[in-house]
Amino acid sequence: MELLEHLTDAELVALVVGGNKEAFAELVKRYQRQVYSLAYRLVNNQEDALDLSQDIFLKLYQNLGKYDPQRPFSPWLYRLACNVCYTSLRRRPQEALPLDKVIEFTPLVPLDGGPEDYYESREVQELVRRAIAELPENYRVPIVLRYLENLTYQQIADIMELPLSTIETRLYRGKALLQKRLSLVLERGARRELSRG
Amino acid sequence: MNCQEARQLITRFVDEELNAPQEQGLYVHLSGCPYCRHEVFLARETNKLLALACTHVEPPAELLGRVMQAVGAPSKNFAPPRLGRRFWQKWQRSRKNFSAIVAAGFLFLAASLGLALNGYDPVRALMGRVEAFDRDNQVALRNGAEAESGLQSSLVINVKSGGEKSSNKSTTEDRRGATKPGSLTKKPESLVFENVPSKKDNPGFSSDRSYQDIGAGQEHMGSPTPQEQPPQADRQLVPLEVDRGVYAVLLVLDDKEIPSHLAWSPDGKEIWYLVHGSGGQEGFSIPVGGGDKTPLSRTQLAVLQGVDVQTFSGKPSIDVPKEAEAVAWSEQGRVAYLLGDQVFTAAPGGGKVAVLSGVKSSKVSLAWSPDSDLLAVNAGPPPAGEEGREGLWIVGPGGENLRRLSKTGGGSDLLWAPDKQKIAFSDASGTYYVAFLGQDTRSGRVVRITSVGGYGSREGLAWSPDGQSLALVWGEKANERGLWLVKFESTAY
Repeated sequence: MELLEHLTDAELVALVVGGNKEAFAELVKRYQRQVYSLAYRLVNNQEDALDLSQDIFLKLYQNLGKYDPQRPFSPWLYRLACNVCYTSLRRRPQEALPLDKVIEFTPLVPLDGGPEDYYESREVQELVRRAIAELPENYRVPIVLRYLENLTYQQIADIMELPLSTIETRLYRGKALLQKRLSLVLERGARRELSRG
Repeated sequence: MNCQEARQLITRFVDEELNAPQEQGLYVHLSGCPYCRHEVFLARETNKLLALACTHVEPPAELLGRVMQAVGAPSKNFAPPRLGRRFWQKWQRSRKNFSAIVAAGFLFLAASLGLALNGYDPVRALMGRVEAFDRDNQVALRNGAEAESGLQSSLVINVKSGGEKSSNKSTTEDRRGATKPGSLTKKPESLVFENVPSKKDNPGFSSDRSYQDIGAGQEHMGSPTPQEQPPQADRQLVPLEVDRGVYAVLLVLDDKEIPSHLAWSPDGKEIWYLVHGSGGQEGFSIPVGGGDKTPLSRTQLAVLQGVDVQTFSGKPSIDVPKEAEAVAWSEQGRVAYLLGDQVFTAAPGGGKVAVLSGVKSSKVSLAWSPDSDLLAVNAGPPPAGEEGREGLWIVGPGGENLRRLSKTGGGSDLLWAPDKQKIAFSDASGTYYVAFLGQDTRSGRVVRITSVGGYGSREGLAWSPDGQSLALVWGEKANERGLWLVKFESTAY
């Protein structure tokens, strides 16, 4: 079945709707990294990301008949994935107070020390990922789309089917919350950068 | 613009989502607001953190199995996909695609009849059909794209040492190959530019021999002692501006990565640039003498990313009106700006001086010479029916020695060479020029670098430390912008 790898997305979809599940397996293989990464960066938890990815692919399977083969497949899949994630995140019990409801919240405190490439240290990256996962979902989804896939604001607006101005506002507010939450990390990183010259 | 408004723009600024007027307005605010300059720094740092944290992860191996198991499991809550009416309509519009579907259906039907038992693989059979179909389409697309763009060979400049002619016609695949840097294996005199089209069929770099004397502001057209060119049988070999001492080499061309924020390494051997990659903003270095691009170190990257903020830092406080546009600070603390239709300069402790009036265009860029003794003004055309000041001008900080170097201008790019002898600039159409100034800056001429208008890039111009070479991002089409190295020899000026 290696030859399925050479088919375009639209051709694979045509085979799937004709009943070929191997073609669907090829689609999953082709996009599982993107889908799982999106889910993982949104929930910051392997188990939840696995469940969410599975939900996305099952939703995809059910909706393949609605796909317009004259349009690129990837943005369409992303739109569907975002809808599934959004619905799932909204249903999910809130483990912590949403950041936008908290007036005075404590910045995440990084440990002292650390390697030369401070921002790249595992500890700092985990703090950032935690901060992202604790954002309200309407800020979290556009931020992850922006930085995971390097999408433009307009592309995010198209995927989320929202006005561009809404995406601008959400990214601004989301990043402002993150900046506050990560203020100690940023200060420490800036000091190290200066001390290194 | 107040700080609150500026902060909303800063998020979009660091994400490169502002349009030119918004960016200009933000620059004006930043020039007088250290707090917001710090916000730019924090926003960039936040972006760095996010880019590092939001990376792709490999999915666990069990994901595929779980999905396929769920797809195969019968459930009243889970229905297999059905073809929607829209799907059929769209597919039927494309005869070839429809044929592929029919072929797929036929082949799978055949498979279900038991052909597979005889070693017949329906998928392989389909692949044969689809591959043939794709091959045809690719050929058609390639030929169509070439015919449409007229770029068969225009952007492919493989630099080889003299005498190495190549009779190969370049193709789309060659153009992909052009993403690799060209190599300067010999001095420019001995360079042979392969597949460089002439002005007639090449939108790229100019072989136009027009030039302008700037002494009295009069333009002249002429051909100063052009060398006799050998006859070109099929335009495989066309020297580029060789009689003028101006050469261009394409270093990088990739439609997915448009270079920006150019800078030369201090030793002048490499050009550093930024692109937006999948992991956020990425920096690369490309050696001008030949070789592949390599990623920049974090320190080098910080130099590029901090370029425009450093411009604002540590400037003495001069009151710049809020309505001012095209604000430019000099290293010595002078400022120049456009207010209404006048260009003003101001120095610390001194009042403002109008140095150029009647600039009836919003497309104006200003730049101070390295020693801050001259201001260059690149002004666009006035509204139809009005008289303006279109062109490239230079003027002293007190309004003295006003001279017009070119009658065309209005592009956003304007950059002095470190030796103060050259100014690179663009006009409103995106055509690029270099004005050569004599030692006394009272004589010289203007050479056109690109023969037609096109697209540059943010901070897409950079002079080498010795002022003899110019790095330029340019393309006639927005998605075909490459990083060019333009070299000047003494015969150019």
